[in-house]
Amino acid sequence: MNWRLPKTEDLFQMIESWQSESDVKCMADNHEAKAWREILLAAHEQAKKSLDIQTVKGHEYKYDLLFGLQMYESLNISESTASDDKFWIYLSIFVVPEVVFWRWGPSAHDRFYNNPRRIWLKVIWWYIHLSWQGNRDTTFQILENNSTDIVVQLVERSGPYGYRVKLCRTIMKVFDEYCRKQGKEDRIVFRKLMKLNTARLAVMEPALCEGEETGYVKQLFAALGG
Amino acid sequence: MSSAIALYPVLTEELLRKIGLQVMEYEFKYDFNHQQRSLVAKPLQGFENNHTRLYISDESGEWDPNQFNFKFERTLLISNPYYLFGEQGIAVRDAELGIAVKWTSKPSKQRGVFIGSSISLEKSEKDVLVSINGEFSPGTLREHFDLTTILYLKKPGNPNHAEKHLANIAGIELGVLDSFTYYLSGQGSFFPVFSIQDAGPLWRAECNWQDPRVDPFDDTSFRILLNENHPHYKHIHSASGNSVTPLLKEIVFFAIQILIENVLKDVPYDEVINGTNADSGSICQAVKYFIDTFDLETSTKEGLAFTLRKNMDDKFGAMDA
Repeated sequence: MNWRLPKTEDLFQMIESWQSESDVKCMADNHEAKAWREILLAAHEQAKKSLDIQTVKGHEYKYDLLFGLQMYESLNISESTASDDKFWIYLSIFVVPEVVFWRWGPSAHDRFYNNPRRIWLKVIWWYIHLSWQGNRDTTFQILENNSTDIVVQLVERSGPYGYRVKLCRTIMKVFDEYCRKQGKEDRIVFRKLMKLNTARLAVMEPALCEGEETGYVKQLFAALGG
Repeated sequence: MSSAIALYPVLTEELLRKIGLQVMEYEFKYDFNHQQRSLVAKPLQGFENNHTRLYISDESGEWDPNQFNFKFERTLLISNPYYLFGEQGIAVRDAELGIAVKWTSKPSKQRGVFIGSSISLEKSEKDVLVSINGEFSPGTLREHFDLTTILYLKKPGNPNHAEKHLANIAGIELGVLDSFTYYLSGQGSFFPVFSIQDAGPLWRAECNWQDPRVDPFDDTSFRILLNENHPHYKHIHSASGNSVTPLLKEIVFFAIQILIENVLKDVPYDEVINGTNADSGSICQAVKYFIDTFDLETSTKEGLAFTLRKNMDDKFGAMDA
């Protein structure tokens, strides 16, 4: 499918014209967009309700996680769709602009369209996808103690040729085990881990290591003294 | 892009010759109603000589990577594997080497590895047949992907005195056998031309970049969309499907003019031509290539239109659209 979008200048004007929640209007009216809208609004309301919040301040990560898990399961899209920036820009601006606005406030151009690495819906989908442990409950458990910093560290380090999905899922699982042992979420360790990983990937292919991805990730942690 | 300098011996041209490597072409297939159907990879025009860029074609026209899976099989024959092992080789004598196919797809934001069979002196000293296969689920791949066949160290060995310099950690890559890019859409055009179906005009060009010095020249930054629903669409392709029709040439000239003029609005001419600050593979570099190669006059619109047609017209054999 080809999501045709207006020019960047027009998108800029649209986002700028939204200064308060009442300015934001959903413009999609086709059948498919309505179905997506229903799914995403339900995920939004459900996440707000479980956290018992009206504004996102102070609950950013918890909200992203709950909303993300629900969106991931109910959107049920392929990786090929999810890697198309235009799809996410279309959803953000034309399908559920009020949700993105609620999360990021006015003039958040990067989160709507302007920076492919920061488009919020896309980032959250990939965060869940790269952490997915086969079902929602287990995925929630390994992610519940993380923070928005971990989201950025994981999703923005795609490397020049894309994500190694299995490796990411293994890292997230082992990192959670590590945090539980330490009794705290350690974002410094996660940053170090991802940096070391990037360096090693220049010469190693995790899937080819002894013990494959799991063996490789254990070695990473061992090198950090974990 | 990162690169690494290997501090251990890896596969060289000379070693490749010595081991007598014969690589069979990939065979591509997909499952259709419990049956396997074949897909064919054809070289893009302009790449017939080295076959490094190909497009995947389905004779039946049914295959859609979003709905069907995609499988490959490949066989390699290594006549003299013993040259790979020992002091003069790349692995310890009692180590095990493996063949793998790495896949990467920037437009699909993913990569992975398929593991093939292994090579060791213990198994066989002569004529080793290595096979490898892989499968992608529907909806994994988009636009294009690369398949790179590599040799890697599967199991470390016990190095003797003369073998201490050899790589001996499982997972280390010891060389690339070959690499190909496969296109899934738009007949896999190198020059990014795609077909759409809507009520719009016959064609349009899309320019989509933040910074042409950095953003890569690919089908997300620049492309031509041809509208199959338009009544004149039939004039775009020749009956044989091989030659480029005058109409398509005109569309491409016009699109390149749009591309060049838009880039020169963002980046000063001197900067484009000197190549300063432009990343390799960037839109700026592509524009510099067009200007240099076809000696384009860019100071006026009419000059650009004239030189495009004068200098590029007979070059189309090498530029498929």
